[in-house]
Amino acid sequence: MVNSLIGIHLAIGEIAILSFVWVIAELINPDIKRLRRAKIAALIGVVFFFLSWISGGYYYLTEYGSVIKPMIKAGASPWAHKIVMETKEHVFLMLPFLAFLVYGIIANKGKEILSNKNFRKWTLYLSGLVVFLGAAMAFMGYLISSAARDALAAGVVI
Amino acid sequence: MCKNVKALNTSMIFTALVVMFMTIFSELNSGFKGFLKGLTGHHWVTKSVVTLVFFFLVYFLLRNTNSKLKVEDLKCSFVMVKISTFAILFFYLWHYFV
Repeated sequence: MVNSLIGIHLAIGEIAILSFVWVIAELINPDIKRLRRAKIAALIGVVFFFLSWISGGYYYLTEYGSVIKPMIKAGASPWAHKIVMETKEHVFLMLPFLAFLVYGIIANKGKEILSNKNFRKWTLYLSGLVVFLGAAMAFMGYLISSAARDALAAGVVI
Repeated sequence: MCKNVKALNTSMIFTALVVMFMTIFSELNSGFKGFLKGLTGHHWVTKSVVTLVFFFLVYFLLRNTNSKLKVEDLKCSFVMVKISTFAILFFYLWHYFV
């Protein structure tokens, strides 16, 4: 049966990523109003990254480890766990804090963002890194799900 | 909340380092991985808790220090997160293929 938790985890993660795409859009040519909106978007992103951590972690502990992981390891694509999942679960640990740092910069350094082009550029780069890592998490999730489906289609039973 | 962004940035840099070393060292040393598992029942849960506590603990310890955030500080956290990400990815590639 399809586990709804993985869908919830995915949706929450996508909202977090899109929030930081919104942050980037607001910071490209900022003014006071856009800065305020960027702060709201970053806060939404931070909250959703932490929720994604909880939902993904719960799924990982209750379902993935006992059902999906052994299936992938016994299937044709064991690398999907041994490389992709291992990288995903550890790199993710930095993501909510990086998002929180971007929120902290936008919330407290508005004057620098508005007046210092270089400072704004590097705040944008950090926001871009959040989006890049978030998208990488989503792509890795796709690879892991595909490997599990392939194992299931090949008749791997644990 | 978290007004000292320089401290927040420094905390991010050290957290990226801790995640990288904790991840790689736990794979190379089964005793350390077992120790992490023993604390909460799962090594990843312990790593999650350690990361969360470490990030806010470093911020708490540095919150009253100089708060002047420079562009170089942002570059440093950007580079450190990238180094940590690629170190973890290449470590697992090496671990799988070699």
